[in-house]
Amino acid sequence: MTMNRTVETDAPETFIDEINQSRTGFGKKIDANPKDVEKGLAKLVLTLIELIRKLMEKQAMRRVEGGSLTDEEIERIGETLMKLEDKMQELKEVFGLEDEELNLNLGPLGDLM
Amino acid sequence: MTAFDSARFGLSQHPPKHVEQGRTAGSSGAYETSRGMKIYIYGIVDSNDGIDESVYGLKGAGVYNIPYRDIGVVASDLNGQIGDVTQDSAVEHERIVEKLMINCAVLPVKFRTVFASREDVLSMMENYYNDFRANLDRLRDKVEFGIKIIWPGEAIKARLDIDYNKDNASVNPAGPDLDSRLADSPAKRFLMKAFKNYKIDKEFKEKADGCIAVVDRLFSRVAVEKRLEKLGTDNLLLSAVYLVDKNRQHDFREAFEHTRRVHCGLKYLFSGPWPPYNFVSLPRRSQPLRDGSWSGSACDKAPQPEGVPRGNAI
Amino acid sequence: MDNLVTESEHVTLLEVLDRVLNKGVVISGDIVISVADVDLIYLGLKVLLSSVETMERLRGAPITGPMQEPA
Repeated sequence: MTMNRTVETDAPETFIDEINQSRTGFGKKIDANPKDVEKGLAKLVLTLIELIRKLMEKQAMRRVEGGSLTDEEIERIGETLMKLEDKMQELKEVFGLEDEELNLNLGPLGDLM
Repeated sequence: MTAFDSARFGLSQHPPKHVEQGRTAGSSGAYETSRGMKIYIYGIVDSNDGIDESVYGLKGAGVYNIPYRDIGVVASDLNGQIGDVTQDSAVEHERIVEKLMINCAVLPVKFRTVFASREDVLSMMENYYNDFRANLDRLRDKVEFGIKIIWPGEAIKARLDIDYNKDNASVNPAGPDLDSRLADSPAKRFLMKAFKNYKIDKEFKEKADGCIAVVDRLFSRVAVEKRLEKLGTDNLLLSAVYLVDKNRQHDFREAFEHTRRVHCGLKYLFSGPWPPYNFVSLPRRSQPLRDGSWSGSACDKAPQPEGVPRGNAI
Repeated sequence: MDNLVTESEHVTLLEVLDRVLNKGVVISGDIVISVADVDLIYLGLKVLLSSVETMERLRGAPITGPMQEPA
């Protein structure tokens, strides 16, 4: 015989708070509205650029972790990452997109980022 | 084995008496739904018998089982517009699905799934039959439990930050021969800050994985399948669902109680038993069109579990 | 060891809604009329349920960007 279904917690307000936070963001919403084709395209393009930026950043972090960078390299990598981030910020502002929107849901693989 | 009693209503497509007010002419509730009457569905059941008791669903319409081969789809008639989304209707929908679960295996259907006609419903059943049949077999006598765990993530991260600053006050990534002229460049500061976040984040995730592995171990012994979502927020360590055999549900509860006693620095949320919402697995398919033809590319055979965890692909 | 608080109505609601809105059998295709995009709007500790259509109707304009929480 099946137990009675319950929902039990020792910290209801904390869970409500954290669950809410974990769900905000509009990654799942796809702009199918034809008036927003431009925005939809911008979102897609910027998502991919953001992905590349993150990959570059990750690669840079690994090199720093490796411990054998010259001053010149540190300066160059730092400069590049800084400029990339500024540029992304600019593009997001131009298209009115938030961080949470720059994501793709890959079904079984979860979210891209 | 089906517990649905076919005796009560004879033909299982005969809906029970409607209690809905102001029904339009023609919708006599006899053998066929009248034109314009939409069909709202609740779940796919492992039975082609009628429903034994009077169950009422959306807008008070009677709930009945539409048989298709050896399975069925539980539905109610919908007159007019579906209406605005309300919490009550969502809760009602879930209540009906849970009621169905008592008697036989049920695949819960997403809230507000409507068809224009009975023919469309049957067409859908033909299209999905194999997948439904496979899921019903896999999920027979199984229930779902939800476990969520909160840990002091923010505090742990803050601690890691302090420790990092202490350990790295005089360390630079270039090794011992640092050119002091570059010590304060904005680019270097930026890189060092990014690196610090990267290291802290890495260690934080490792700690989380360790903690999750410990609590998951016990549950996994009792469960047949699971879906884990890690670090939904810094504090929401784990949001998990476990598929458990019906005759092990008390064992699962015991495993939970044991975990809670042993690991008391954490906060817990326990829910269930539920119908197996998170364990229905339907492959992608191309879109069937009204005229019977098919749109889109060929079917992708890769299984796509519904309710997929929100993990990161990269 | 203290017992778990048995039921918080709000927490129960969140658990139910998560399952019923997002999970289970999702049927795609032309023949299903499903108002699929039901969204949860979080107002502090409260939760509002709304379809995209309803929200657009109430606001008088299509939803295009991130939703602002009502003040």
